[in-house]
Amino acid sequence: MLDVRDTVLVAGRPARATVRLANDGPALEAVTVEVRVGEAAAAAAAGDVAAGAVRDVGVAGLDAPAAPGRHRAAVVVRAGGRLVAAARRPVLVVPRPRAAVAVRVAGEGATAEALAAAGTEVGAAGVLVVAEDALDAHAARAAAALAGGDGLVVLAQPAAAARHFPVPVTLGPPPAGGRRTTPSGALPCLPRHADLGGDDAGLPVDAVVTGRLEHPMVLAGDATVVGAHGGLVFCQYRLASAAAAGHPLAAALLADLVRWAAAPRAAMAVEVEAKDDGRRLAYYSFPGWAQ
Amino acid sequence: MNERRRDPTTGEWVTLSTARQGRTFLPAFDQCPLCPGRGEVPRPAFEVVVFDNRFPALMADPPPPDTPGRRLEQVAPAAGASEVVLYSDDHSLTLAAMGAAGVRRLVEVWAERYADLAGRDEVAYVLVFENKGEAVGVTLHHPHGQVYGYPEIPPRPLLELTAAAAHLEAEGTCVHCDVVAAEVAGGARLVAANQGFAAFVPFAPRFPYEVHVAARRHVPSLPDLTDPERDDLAEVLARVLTAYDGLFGFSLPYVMAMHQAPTDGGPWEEVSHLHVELYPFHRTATKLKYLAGSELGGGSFLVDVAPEDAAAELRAPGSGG
Repeated sequence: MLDVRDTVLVAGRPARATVRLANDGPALEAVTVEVRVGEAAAAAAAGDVAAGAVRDVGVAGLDAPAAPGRHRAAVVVRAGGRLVAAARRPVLVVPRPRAAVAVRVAGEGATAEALAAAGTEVGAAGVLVVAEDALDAHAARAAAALAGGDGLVVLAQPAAAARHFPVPVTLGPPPAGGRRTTPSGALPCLPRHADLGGDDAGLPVDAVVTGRLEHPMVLAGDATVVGAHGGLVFCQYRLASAAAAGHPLAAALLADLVRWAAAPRAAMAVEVEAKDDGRRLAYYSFPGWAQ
Repeated sequence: MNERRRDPTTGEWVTLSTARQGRTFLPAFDQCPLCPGRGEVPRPAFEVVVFDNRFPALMADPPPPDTPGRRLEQVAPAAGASEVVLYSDDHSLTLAAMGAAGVRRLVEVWAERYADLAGRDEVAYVLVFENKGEAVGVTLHHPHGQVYGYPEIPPRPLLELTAAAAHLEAEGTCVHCDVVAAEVAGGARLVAANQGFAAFVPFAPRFPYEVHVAARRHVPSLPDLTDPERDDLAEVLARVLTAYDGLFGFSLPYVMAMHQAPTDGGPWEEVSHLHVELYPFHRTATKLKYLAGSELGGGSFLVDVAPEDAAAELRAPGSGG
């Protein structure tokens, strides 16, 4: 059994995995256990393990992979050099949250602390971040920020706050089932176009934006959990307290949202036509991309 | 005739597409049908274009087979996709000359085409590839590649997937992850590497200067890459292509193919590992590696250059490696 304490790791940072062997087969001699996450590996000798025995092998320490993204954590058990068991599970490696972006906060709570954990510079200028549940009290500031082109991030709001959003939205309860990302790539901390499975465990969602807006990033059924519309970036994950407490995905997600609000990356544009003979023809352009 | 036939002695499917005999063959520059404003692309300028092949081997709505099927003569419609990817509107460019920034755009397009074709019921495997240069049989010089959507997993990727499944069963790990880590650590066959990708001459290549560009993370397909990894793939691929052009002092012909996860809904994620395989046919500046008796008749490749020497040549300053 492999117990990686967190399913989300920070790139390049030390990670710890507790390894416990439960031998439900015959006795094993000269047992070794190797733990791998990406290209990093740690090995331990467990000696002889009797049939039916449970053995605490210890804690394997290794550095999380330097490359963010989904990786496999694997434990490989050998006896006398022969493979006897292997178990694998996905882990998500997120970038170190370093949003070198100036932000200002509207609202109270853990937001300022969370933004600091995300590597932002909290002050009196820059992207306006509306704290969770604070939009009703700061709707005018949000609208002004959007109108002024300052960049606006609205963190999770209750369903009743829909009328305060600076663009028309409706909010409703989150549908049952998992969440998934779109192909947009606007959130580098999450895999693109992927079912999130347990990656976003620990980040509750009370309400979601029903229907699609201009730029969906995380979807729950047909509803939007994280997205953008014009200069507005919104996130219905409740992540402020978690980010302030050091939850790696919450901090990385907050950093991504602020970065996107400050400087949205131009996406590839596709125009599809039908040729005279009916064949598909698509033009791809890359406005704003490096030459 | 456009149909697929199964060889009952090997189980291999072959695609018959007799209309392809009429393809435009090495036209003069001013007759190039892929240049903007001419045959295929009406607009006067473009960045990247993808269109359905005028002479498709595989297509979304194929006609029924001309040949009636029998017990030993199994046939199937040529279902799938055959797309052409124009890399640029500049007829004189090559992928190598486009540099990392140009390749980066194509990575985005290739990922989009993979994701789109993966959603089609008739496509079980998406192969992104490029044939470059007359030495490998190219018929149009305008810089372009192709994307095929096959109705089953083609033999070469299937062979790899089968080997990867056996390795997973025996070792508990992805064979490609193990190989990439070993090549980076060993370095003798390494050509180029960055945080996301490594390029190396494989331990047992089939062509003298064959190079594989593999993701260092276990990534089944292009859409799974993060943005920095897409940058890294473009950078390493551009370095390899530059090294190729520096190898013998001319723009080196090659075949490039990307191996990604099958799209038939099967449980391939653990054994599919994104990598690009490049096969130049030259073994010296003036000699080609031909597929002859051993290779075609026996399926067993003979290689004239030690992979470690090939990697060293590709790393040499003149090769840009």
